[in-house]
Amino acid sequence: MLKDTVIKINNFIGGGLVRKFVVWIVVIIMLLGALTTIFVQISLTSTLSEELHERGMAISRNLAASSTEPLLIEDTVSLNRLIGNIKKTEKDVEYIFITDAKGKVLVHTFNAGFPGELLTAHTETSSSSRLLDTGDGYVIDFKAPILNGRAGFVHIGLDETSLNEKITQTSRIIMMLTFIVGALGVFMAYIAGDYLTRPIRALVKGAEEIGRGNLGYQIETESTDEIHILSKAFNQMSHNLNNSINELRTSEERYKKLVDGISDAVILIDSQKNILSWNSAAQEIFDYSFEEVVGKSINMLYSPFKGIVTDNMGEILDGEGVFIKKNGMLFPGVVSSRPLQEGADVGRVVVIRDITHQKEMKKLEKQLLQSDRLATIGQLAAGVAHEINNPLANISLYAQMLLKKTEDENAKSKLKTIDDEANRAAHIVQGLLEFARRSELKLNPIDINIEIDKVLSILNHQFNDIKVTTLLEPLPLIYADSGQIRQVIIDILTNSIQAITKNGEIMIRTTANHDHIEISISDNGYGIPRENMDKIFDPFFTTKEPGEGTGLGLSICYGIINRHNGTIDVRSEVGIGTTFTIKLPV
Amino acid sequence: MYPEKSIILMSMLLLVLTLSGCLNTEEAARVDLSNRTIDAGDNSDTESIRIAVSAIISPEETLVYYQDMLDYISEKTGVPVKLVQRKTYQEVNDLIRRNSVDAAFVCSLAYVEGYDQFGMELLVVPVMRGETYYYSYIIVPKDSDVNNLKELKGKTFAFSDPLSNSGKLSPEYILAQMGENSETFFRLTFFTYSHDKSIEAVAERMVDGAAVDSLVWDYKDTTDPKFTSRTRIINKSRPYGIPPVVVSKDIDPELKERLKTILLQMHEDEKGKEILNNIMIDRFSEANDSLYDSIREMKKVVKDVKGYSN
Ligand SMILES: Nc1ncnc2c1ncn2[C@@H]1O[C@H](COP(=O)(O)OP(=O)(O)OP(=O)(O)O)[C@@H](O)[C@H]1O
Ligand SMILES: [Mg+2]
Repeated sequence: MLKDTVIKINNFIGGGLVRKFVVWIVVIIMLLGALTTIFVQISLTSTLSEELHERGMAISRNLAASSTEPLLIEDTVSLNRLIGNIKKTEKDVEYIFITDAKGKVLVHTFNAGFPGELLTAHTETSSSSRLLDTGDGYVIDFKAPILNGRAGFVHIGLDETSLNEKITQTSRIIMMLTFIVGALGVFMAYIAGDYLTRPIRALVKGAEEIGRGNLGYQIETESTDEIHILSKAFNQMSHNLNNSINELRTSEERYKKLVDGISDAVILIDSQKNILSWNSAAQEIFDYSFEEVVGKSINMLYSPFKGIVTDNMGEILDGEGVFIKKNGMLFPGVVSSRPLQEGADVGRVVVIRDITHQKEMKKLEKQLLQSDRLATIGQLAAGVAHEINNPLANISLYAQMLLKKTEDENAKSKLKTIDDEANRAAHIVQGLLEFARRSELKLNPIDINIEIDKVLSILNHQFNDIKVTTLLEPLPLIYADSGQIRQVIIDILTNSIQAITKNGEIMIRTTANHDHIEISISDNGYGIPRENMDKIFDPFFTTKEPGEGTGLGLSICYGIINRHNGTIDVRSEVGIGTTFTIKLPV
Repeated sequence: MYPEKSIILMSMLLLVLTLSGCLNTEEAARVDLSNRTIDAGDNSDTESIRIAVSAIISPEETLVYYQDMLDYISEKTGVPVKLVQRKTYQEVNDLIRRNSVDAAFVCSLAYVEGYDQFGMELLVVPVMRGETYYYSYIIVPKDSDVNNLKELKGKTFAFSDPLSNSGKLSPEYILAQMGENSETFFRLTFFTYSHDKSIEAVAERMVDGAAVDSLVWDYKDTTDPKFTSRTRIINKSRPYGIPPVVVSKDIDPELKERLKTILLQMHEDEKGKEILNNIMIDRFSEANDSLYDSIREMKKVVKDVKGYSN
């Protein structure tokens, strides 16, 4: 309660320590002055009025005693002299009068006539006093009975004004003293306050210096009191703070280096997923400056189409994702994130690793594996084909010779079948040889669009009611083996025709890019199941009936395109269709 | 340096200071002193009976002792009675002579003087201890080595009143018989103008001796021996006629008779008896002027005593 009041008053005073000090000193002096004045006034009033009272009583009793005889013997001359003398010699006597026992005024000191009201103002019969208000001052009427009132009464009126004047004068002196002391107090309190608060101000300056960042600031003190202890503690604190901050800075730098040394993007986000900080790798990977991302949502780094930032719970999903750089380029990455603080949602550390390179390596590896396998199969096939070719040729030769010599029709047709089958086998062998043969490519500048037109005219009759659309961009001439390229297109189109069940549509597109051309062939056939995707380029992989397909078509295509330093890709969905894309370098 | 805030604070303090100055407790009665309505000084009261009492004892004591009697008279007559006192016997005698008092208790010598000079009339005399006589005592302080009047020669002496018999004439008479007079015999003499004061003066050793009324001394010794116990009687005079109650010769005869009757019958009713008892008077009785002849004789002897012949 008191504390609150003091705080309130302090707030009211405002300003610095010196001012508070001064104001408080003045307040205390004034309060003490007021208390002293009140005390002195009370005690002075009681003392003086007691004194006045006693004096009045004494005078009146004495007068009563000395006036008894003159009163009884009706010696009014003596009585008049008596009261006249008293009025002259005693201070503050306003009036004196003497009455007989019946209250008749015998003598009085009033100049002309006696104020009748006085007789009724004080009716007590014993020795007593009564305060009277005469209109221009207070008078105490002292009454003393003469011979117990049987002879009469003496009245003396003492003026209270001089008493009050005395009190007022004393109070005035005390008040003046209070003011002088107050003024001196202000002066001295100012000096003392200034002196006493000097070290405090030094402390304040020190605190301000530290606040301004001037760590390690030291205060100079010469005193030996508590302030000195405080200053020493302050200096120690300042020193320690400086050391700690330096250590912290070193540590921070170390950690920054550590984090910057990481090749992955390390991103610090708050609970709202806004970016707080990131390392230099992140800057490199995303190509944004720190200023461009700070405070923005981490979502801006995810590809808007493929990026899955969070799950249903709003948590950042760990695992693979697609990210977008400043220039719009997308790249695959692996995300792993950890909360900054376990059990509290204050933010997370998100680490994104660019895995473009890894992806490419994997693809390459796969391609290498495919090439190896093809090469092995090729060599095997070449060896087998060579061994099979001669017997097949003999079978065919001998079947034709026997055909010429026999007349039996039944035998003739059977021989014909033998000859046909042998030729077919020879054809397969020839295909195998072709696949295996690493013959020199007969490279000529060719226009792929023209080759496509040729193939379409060859296959024309096979399309039946399949709708074939071509969207052929003008293409630069490329160096390629035209026969083999045609072979590839034929194989792919044949597969499409075979995959189509009804309402067939085939779309052939060519596009020219700055370093390669692209040929894509789409159909709306039954598509390729996921589990077969890896196998379709393998030799002898077929889903078709024996005799229908050998499973060599796509593996030969792969070989040819590979030898042209191009790539062949497939995308397919069961029930919807399949698209083969061939890229050939310009 | 000090803005309004501090000024407000300080003025609040000043307020406290000024408020503290207004402390007064007793409620004053309003009196207008300018309204002068009464004239003082006129003490005459024509309606009342005025009875003077000579200062045989001091006026204060007189008031105490005689007020009841005067009240009694007032009650009996149905007229207010005013007690009139004067310092000297002579003054009382003058009042009687002028007929400004109706009756008076006077000293025996004063009566003799009044009777001789203007026909003061005897009304009644008190009977005290069965007698209508009294004496003059010469008293000295109790431990004084003075044993008779002779030994007081060259000392200080107090008389009561020039017109007192017991307090003046009687000692003068004794001195005259010794061939002395007071002015030469004593080193210094005083008039105390009442017997109780004389007793007090001796008791307090303010004087070496004094002549006092036996009635007063005896009364005091019985009722309040504070001073009498510190005095010793060294001489008792022959008996004198007791101080009487007198009237002016010009008094209304009817009033004179009424007063006489009241006084004479006073001891007969209970209240009057009690009042008389208090002042040791048995009753009042009629008296003859011859009762005071002894005094007249002494007066003749003491020719040269100043004060009573004029
Ligand atoms: N456009 C396509 N639609 C659906 N399946 C396809 C398509 N192209 C290829 N396939 C699948 O790939 C397999 C391999 O094809 P590939 O051309 O190598 O052999 P094939 O067509 O079965 O026989 P061949 O081509 O030697 O006559 C096919 O059996 C077929 O299952
Ligand atoms: Mg095929």
